[in-house]
Amino acid sequence: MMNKDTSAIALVLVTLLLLFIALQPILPANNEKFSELGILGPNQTISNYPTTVVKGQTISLYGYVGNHEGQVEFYKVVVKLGNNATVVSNSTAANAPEMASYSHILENNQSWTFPVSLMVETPGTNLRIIFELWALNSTTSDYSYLGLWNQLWLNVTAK
Amino acid sequence: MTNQYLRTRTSAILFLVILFLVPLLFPMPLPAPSHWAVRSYGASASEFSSTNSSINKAFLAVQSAEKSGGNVTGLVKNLNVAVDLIQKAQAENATNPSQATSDLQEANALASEVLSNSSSVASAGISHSRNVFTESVTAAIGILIVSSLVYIYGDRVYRQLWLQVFRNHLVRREEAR
Repeated sequence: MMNKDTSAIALVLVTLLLLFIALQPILPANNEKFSELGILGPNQTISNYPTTVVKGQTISLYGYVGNHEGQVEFYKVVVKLGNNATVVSNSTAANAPEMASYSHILENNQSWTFPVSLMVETPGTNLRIIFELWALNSTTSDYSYLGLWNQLWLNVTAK
Repeated sequence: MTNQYLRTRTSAILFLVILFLVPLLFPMPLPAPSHWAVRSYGASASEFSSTNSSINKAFLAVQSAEKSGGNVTGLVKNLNVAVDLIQKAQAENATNPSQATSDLQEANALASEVLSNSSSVASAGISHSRNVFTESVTAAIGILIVSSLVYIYGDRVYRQLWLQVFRNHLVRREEAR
């Protein structure tokens, strides 16, 4: 048979466990908040990315966005055409012409895969199709660059 | 001389009347100078901007409703339809302007609907959050009370129960052979 101290400790442990279960719904979640951005190939896989296309040829890809921010988010994927001199980083969006943009609202823990259809009209080598993730900022009521970007290197031939 | 003068005068008046009437009877379009704005029947940039602004406003209301604990799944679904309609309108504005205008109007209507419904979703969320809070705190207080009672009276209750269970139990000493 347990002595009094052991039973008291067991009682405290069981009480703490039950208190944790009871208060779980109102305890603030302590998850890491982040968003995801990805570019998929024409088969919705991370393969078969085009490397050389003819000018005016349609480039078919898929974009992927995931929301783990702990709240609903209004995302915008901005596609830009840059070259090897274009500067883009986690803090600065590319200063390059915009080719297309795709917008969608995602709840927490939801993801969105969408078709991307692009066309480059000017031939060139070492061109970069840059994908940037932006989201509507509730404070400024404007889109803010989230610092997430991806790129696809491309050579565009005249014929 | 007078007759001739009158005839000439009548002819001149008749000529002027005809000259005045011909353009009215057979209107010819005047070529518009190149700098004149040509009226487009498609959706204008300001209409797109206005619809985008409505959707952004509706989204911020949805985000606020979610922070209040509301279930915003339905609102998000409707708002995404509006977002898709804007993108569709942008794509078809050059080729099918009337459809683009119609899509923008529909997107605007959806954004307004979401905006007006988000306040009730927020209220429901606040009410739900309050209920969850009350249930959790009540359960926690109940657990603490039960634990305290177990700590104070548990030993006594256990012994009484033991006595009840083993009341008729006889302990016999095994006789030594």
